[in-house]
Amino acid sequence: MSAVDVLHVVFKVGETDYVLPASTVLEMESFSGVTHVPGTATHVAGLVHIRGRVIPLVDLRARFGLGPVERSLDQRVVVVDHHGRRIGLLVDAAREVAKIEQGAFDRPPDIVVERAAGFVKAVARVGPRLVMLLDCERVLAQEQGDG
Amino acid sequence: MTEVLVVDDSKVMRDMVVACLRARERLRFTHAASGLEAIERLSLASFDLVVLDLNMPDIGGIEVLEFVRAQDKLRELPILVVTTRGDEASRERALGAGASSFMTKPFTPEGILDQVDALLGESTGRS
Amino acid sequence: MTQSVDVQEFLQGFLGEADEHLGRITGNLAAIEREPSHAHGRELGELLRSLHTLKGLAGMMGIDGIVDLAHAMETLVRAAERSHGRLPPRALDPLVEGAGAITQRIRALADGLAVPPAPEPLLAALERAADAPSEGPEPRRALQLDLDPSIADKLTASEREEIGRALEHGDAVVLVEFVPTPAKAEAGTTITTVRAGIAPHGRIVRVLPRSRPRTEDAPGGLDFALVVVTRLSVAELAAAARVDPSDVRRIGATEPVDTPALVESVGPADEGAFDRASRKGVVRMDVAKLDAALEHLSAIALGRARLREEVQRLAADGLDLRRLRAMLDDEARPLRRMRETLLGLRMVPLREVLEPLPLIVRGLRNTTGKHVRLSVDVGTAELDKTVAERVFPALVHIVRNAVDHGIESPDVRASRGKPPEGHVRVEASSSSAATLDITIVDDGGGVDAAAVARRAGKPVPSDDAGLLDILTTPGFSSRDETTTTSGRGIGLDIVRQTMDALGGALELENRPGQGTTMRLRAPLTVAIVDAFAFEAGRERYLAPIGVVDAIVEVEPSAVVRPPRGPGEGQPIELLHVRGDVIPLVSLRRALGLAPTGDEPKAMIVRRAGHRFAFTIERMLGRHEVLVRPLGDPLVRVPGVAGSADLGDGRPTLVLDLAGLTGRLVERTSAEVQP
Repeated sequence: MSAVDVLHVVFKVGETDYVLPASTVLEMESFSGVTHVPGTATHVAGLVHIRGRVIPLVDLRARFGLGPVERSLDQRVVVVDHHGRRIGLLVDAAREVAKIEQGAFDRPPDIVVERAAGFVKAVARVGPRLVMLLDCERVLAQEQGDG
Repeated sequence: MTEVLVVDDSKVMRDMVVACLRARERLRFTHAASGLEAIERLSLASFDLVVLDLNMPDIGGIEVLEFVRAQDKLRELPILVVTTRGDEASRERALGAGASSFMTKPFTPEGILDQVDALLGESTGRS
Repeated sequence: MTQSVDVQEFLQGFLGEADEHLGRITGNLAAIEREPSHAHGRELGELLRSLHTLKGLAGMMGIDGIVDLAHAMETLVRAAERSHGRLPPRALDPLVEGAGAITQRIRALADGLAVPPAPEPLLAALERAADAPSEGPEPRRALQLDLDPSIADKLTASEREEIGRALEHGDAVVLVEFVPTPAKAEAGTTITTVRAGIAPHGRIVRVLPRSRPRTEDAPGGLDFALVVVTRLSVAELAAAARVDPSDVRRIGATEPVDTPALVESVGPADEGAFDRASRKGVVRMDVAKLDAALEHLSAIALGRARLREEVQRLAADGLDLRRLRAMLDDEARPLRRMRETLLGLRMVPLREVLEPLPLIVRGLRNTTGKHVRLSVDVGTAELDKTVAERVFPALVHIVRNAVDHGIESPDVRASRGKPPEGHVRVEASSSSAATLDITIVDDGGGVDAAAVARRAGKPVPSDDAGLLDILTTPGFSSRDETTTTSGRGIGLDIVRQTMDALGGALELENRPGQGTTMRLRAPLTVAIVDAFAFEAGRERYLAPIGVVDAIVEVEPSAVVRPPRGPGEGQPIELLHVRGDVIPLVSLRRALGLAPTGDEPKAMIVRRAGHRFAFTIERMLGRHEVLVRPLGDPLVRVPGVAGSADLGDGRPTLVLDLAGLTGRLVERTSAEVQP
């Protein structure tokens, strides 16, 4: 049985490339501001209005412990379907898609990308680059405390 | 103007047929949402072509065909019958009941255009 | 489809039609399920047509998953229809599952998700059921009808059966003869209007077109013979159909005495058929469009507020603007009515929402081995579509729980002296003008509180509320391995979160050994709220005006800072307002944010006898807004009720000032003397 090539969406947070299966990505929109919700976790940027729906926005830079940057036109909101919840992920850029073979993913090595290590499920090579498969479960997990 | 009667109980289906045939500017479309409405319209106005779905409630396409072909005035009317895949038995019955031509869903715009051109070309050629 | 025609154009129309067909499919399956021993010629015919049409449409849209499912179901139903007009008993389950699988795929399509292919095991099951022989005698009715043979001969056995059943109910058989003419068509009477006119008052068994000689008035050479069963008199039916009474006549019918009635006992008249027909005149609509309409209404209200301000200003200059004011006031009422109408459009009958439940329970029979009867008695209760969409999965989960964990196996039930079939009842009643109570009652074994407590590692709860708290702890599962039915999807913790997010509630009544009752309290509408808009820290917020007692200027001289001893925590401020002394707090601080500047105004909020003054930068006016609850746990925080759109595309937070006040009261109650 031949290997299956699965389409993935590639996006950048800081200097690193991450991927998510295209089947979990509902939309990609440009970022035009967010309404902050007081009392939420630090990495929850707030609420955004996308295509008629108001959804939460998670700032991946903040989630990965990277400092904030100035607003840029390249920033994107990647809307994912997580167990029926629609959630936006704020990333620095999202321009490509890539076909990655199911078997091409390896366990993540001990990379130091600030605190991103806990949020990466697997790694794979796309051409000369190493891309990280995001673990949405961990990224979107609730931490106790707050409010 | 070439008068076309589009018969299907699904509005989406009728709209798709019209959209596929948009390329032919001379066509004017009348919608009928049931076989009964189709028969009524055919009795009160004249049409150059009928696109007829076989699968409709109350009175199916075959009955419409049989009734229409029994009318003198409508014996030569070009009727393009549309069936769904897996219903090949209906094809035989349709042709037997007097369908001029038939097509299966799903069809492409090119597919239906070819059929319509052929049917209309034939009839104008004759007159 | 290819190139020049884009299927996306037809997506909304397709979804609407697919929904209708699914409704007909589930309705007919439910009808067959209610009376499995009857012949169901009509239901099978409708099933066939809906499946066939759905297949064709899905084919044109390129959705193979649905095409394959519909085709397999259609083959099965067709085989049944041909042999005796009866579904073999084992055919109903895969059909119900198939309908569910198609529904899921339609929903996926509507949500913009990928549509999975049809599951192979289900297709195989449908194929197997199509090969199984059907049982039961062929229904025969040797009915003599006083009708022209040209009509009588064309009636199928199924149709004769239908007529026979109707006659046994005291309905009459009537023949309506309609001749279409150009004059009638111009006056608006066509075969379509005649059928629509008859439909609510009777069942049209058959319509036959007939040739007739052409005349000057009727050049069509055509008439329609409609065989109708109805309770109306000839005159009444003619009036309903808008035809001449001379075109309607009653048909005599007799059953020869020597033929034994081979049809089994007749059930109550199927009102479902009448209902479906009278649903014409129903329009499908996208809830997003309704919401947009409501938001446009907000924008109009905003404009009117500005107009009023302008009028105020001009009046202050001495102009007599009474007539202008009166005009503005006159507009208020129709706008209010429009808002009520739009809100009303969002309501859906609960009964329709719950239609698939009996089928789901039936599906569980095979996986759980439990025999359960589900009855739904919700009357005409309606609720907001958005609320219904959120409540439905919660209801399904609770019903599944009741079947899976609540109802005992037939043996255990027998040993407890209960009937072998379990009973789950879903009922609805309004507990207040604004809320609806939906209760799910089962006669199972109830919840074993001690076992639950043990599994959770908590002390045995002292009451049902405590038991519910343990059951709704995230991650809690009352079986070691998640069962195949209740294990996936939402859990009781999500059910509680859903009800909380909606501003409703969840309650449990446990009767050990006898059963459980779950009560969901749901708001009837999502709130359209009259709200103040204001600025605090250069951010805009909204708050319902209902809780705001007054808005005041904060004069520095009116602020008092009582001295605090060491170790007594944050200094508090008090505001003198008309002889009263009220605790003063920066709204920003109350939200846990740092204040960013001058806050010269304050909103005085009252809650349960306590008052608090929240300081803000400035007021921005009044708006009527549609509050969307913050559903996702990531953004659910106390103090924020939801978000609304003020017309600029960015969500604006709607604050729960009453809630904030409550928490502040707890914190400072010891410190402030009234």
